[in-house]
Amino acid sequence: MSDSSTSLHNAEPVGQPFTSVPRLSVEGMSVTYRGGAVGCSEVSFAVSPGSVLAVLGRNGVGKTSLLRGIAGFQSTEGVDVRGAVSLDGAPLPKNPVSVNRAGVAFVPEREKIFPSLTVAEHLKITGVTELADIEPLRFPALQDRWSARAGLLSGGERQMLALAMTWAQRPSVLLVDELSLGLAPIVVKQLLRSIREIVEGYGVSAVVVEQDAVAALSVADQVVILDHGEVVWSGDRSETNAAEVGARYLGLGAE
Amino acid sequence: MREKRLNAEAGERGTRRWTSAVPISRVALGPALLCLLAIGVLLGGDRVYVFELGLVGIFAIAAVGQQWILGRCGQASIGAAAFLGIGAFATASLSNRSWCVFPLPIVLAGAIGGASGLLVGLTAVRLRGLYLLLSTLALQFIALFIFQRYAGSAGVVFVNVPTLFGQPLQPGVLFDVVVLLLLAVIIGLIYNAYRSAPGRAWSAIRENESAARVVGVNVVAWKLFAFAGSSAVTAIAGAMYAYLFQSVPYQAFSLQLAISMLVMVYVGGQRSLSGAVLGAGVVSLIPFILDRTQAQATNPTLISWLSTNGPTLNTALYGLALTLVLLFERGGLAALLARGRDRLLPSKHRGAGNGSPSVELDASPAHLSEIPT
Amino acid sequence: MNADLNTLIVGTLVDGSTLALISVGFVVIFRTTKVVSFAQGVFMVVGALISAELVNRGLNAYISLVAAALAAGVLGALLFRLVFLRLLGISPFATAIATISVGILGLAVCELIRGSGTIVVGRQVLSFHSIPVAGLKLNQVVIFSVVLAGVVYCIIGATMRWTRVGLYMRAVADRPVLAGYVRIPTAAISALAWGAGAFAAALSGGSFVLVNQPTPDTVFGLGLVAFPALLLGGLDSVLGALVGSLAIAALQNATLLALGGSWQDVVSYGALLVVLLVRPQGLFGSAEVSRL
Repeated sequence: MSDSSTSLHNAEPVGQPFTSVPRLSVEGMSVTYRGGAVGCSEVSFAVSPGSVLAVLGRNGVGKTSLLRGIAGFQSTEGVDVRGAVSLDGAPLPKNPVSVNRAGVAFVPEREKIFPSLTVAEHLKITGVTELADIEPLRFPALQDRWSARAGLLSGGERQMLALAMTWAQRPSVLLVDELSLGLAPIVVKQLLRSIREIVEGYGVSAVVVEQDAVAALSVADQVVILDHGEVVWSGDRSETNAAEVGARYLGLGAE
Repeated sequence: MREKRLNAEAGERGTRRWTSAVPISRVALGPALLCLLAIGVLLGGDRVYVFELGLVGIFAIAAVGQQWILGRCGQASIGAAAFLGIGAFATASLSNRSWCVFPLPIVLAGAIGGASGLLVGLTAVRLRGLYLLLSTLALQFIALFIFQRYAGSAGVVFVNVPTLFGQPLQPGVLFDVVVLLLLAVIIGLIYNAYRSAPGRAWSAIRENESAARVVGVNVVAWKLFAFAGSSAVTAIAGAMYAYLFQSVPYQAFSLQLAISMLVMVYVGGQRSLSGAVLGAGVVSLIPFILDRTQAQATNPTLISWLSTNGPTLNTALYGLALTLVLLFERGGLAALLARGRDRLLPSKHRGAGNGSPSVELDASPAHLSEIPT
Repeated sequence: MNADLNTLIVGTLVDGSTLALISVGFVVIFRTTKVVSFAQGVFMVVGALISAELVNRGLNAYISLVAAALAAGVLGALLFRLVFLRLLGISPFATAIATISVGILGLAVCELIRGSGTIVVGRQVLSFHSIPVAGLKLNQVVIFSVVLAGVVYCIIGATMRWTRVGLYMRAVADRPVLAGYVRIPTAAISALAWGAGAFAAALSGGSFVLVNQPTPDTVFGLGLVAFPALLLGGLDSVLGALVGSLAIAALQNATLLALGGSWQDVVSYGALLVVLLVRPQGLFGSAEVSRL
């Protein structure tokens, strides 16, 4: 198990100058549920502006627990959350609304859109009157479905809408939970590439939790792999021997 | 086999859950207070207090029956008044038939109540939570209508007073003794059921019906049993009510009475039989205190104010008590008293299962639900 | 036109409008906060008492109605903030019981303040003088009731669809957690929903006492009769509230004619039972409602 702190803090984010204070810093995050079940344990990493960190691992290893813990959701549900999370050096509060206001936006896996509201209404809530306002997430599909109810959208369209709504709030950190679930690979690629565009174009930091390791690795700068709630590997994407890491930790077959 | 499994699971988690064997020190609180009160009143001999004790005993029986279905089994039923009425009217009617020798009316009233409860239970198999509540609300109105029709133009049915040991069974010491003995027997039977397989089944149904089914609990059978049993008990209370008042007016079994029963169970403490007894005592005490104050007050304005506003103040206090319990202490008075006792007594009695009931209350939202949907 | 049929139609329209106002208020509360409220009766009583008091002091009847409804609306919002907001997240049943306890407490407080005698409006505001309309014999009472209900429905419908507040309410109704997350002030919106629901109920109570002389208890009881209408229409449907109210009002008036007043409650609640056993989500309720 490599030492996360040495490799990550020295890593150069792609395309951005190195900043001494990482945008989002997570130290020793541990999430324990009532009854003792462990979500994740002692997870640490840091993400710089303009870079994407992918959190990978098999199903159920604690990736979502980690992300929800950072976003502040767990604390309100009676779950034990420990660890220090800081944004630009300042500690991040422990409830979701404050976290959101601080500029850390969370795109959940489920219940991420309002089924009976139209696409237009979703964006209206977040202050957007036309799709041009949310470049580069100006998905043509959303334009086509402008007046359609979100409950009738396809999975991919819903994810686009959720991302659009989130980006409309102009966060400085984007936390994306299991973007790819139920979506066709080509759609996943498109969505991840859009996230990449935001990150590079606007200096946003993104933490992407993914089961689809291959897709995530294509847009990530740094990688953290979890197994049974603990970090088993972390490092730069360039350090990643995708095949070896994939086979060892992610159960990807040798190709 | 299934029982052993449930047993083992309950035993494992038993020390943390109130659903496991309830220690004697917990159960006795309500009945103990009632016993003390009873001894005092019966020895004192004041007719007013003796009558009131009988009434408290009757409502304690009904409350215990309602705790069974509401608190233990977690079924949203507001049908208490209807079953009380069924028991009362059945008794009144049967008492006037020569073949129906005492105590046959009480037994038959219980049986009829139980059968009615079984019917209601059948709807409960299909409907849950709020829909069940609404259906029992509808039944309350339908029952009231039937009672009104049955009571005819007089609006009231009169009870033929039986004799017991040569004495007429009317308000008095003998009556109270009969009621309290009934209460003791009923509590004993139900408590026994709580401590064994049926009790665990009902708790499981309350917590999570689907999970209970998966674990092998025969949800339908146990639900029907609970409905039948609790209605029978409530009907028996109704029978004694008929004997106490010697006449049964149909208006008595109103929605207001049904709500009072809810107040008894929840304010007393829906988690235990002891709580139900406490609740019956408290809920009966309030109008009693108001009555006595009015009777013994000297200030004429107070007297006249109380005579017009007494019942309203009564209802206000019920509503306030229930609201406060729901907001702040969902385990009711029983939980409050238990916490007080735990603070006073050393930790000798503090097994984890005997600890502060707020363990459950502060738990995750799923555990805050008394009635699962 | 047959006199009986005319009476039936007129009665249905008046009672239907009364029920429709209570019901639409319930639906707004239920959709936004997921609470099944048995407390609409309290807001009706408050509306009735304040409105009657103002009219008896000489204030214009329509202004009195609106003023009383506004007072009830404030009460509704306050009740949500103080009581029901704290209960969010526990079982729907417990919350429903809380609405019952708050309801009886509120009714009792009203009666302690003002007595439980009949509510009498001293002057006649609406006449029963016959106004022939399209073969029917209507009167001011019917027209007023229908117009009032119609106006309220239009306002609610328009607000929900075209205003930002309505948008926020629909968002909170859909996904309260997500709504909070996109910076919608969920607690304030929910309080507003309760205020609106109370407002509608108060209008119903206030207009009821312009024409009748009920006791507060009776007015409170009307709040419960809305449930057959609501279940028939569907607990979360505004259209259902209207249709259900008219249907139950028709049923009640027909029962009155055929069997007599004492049968009205039984028949209405019998209808409630039938709906529950046959189709719990009612005519227009959404699928989610069937899983209550």
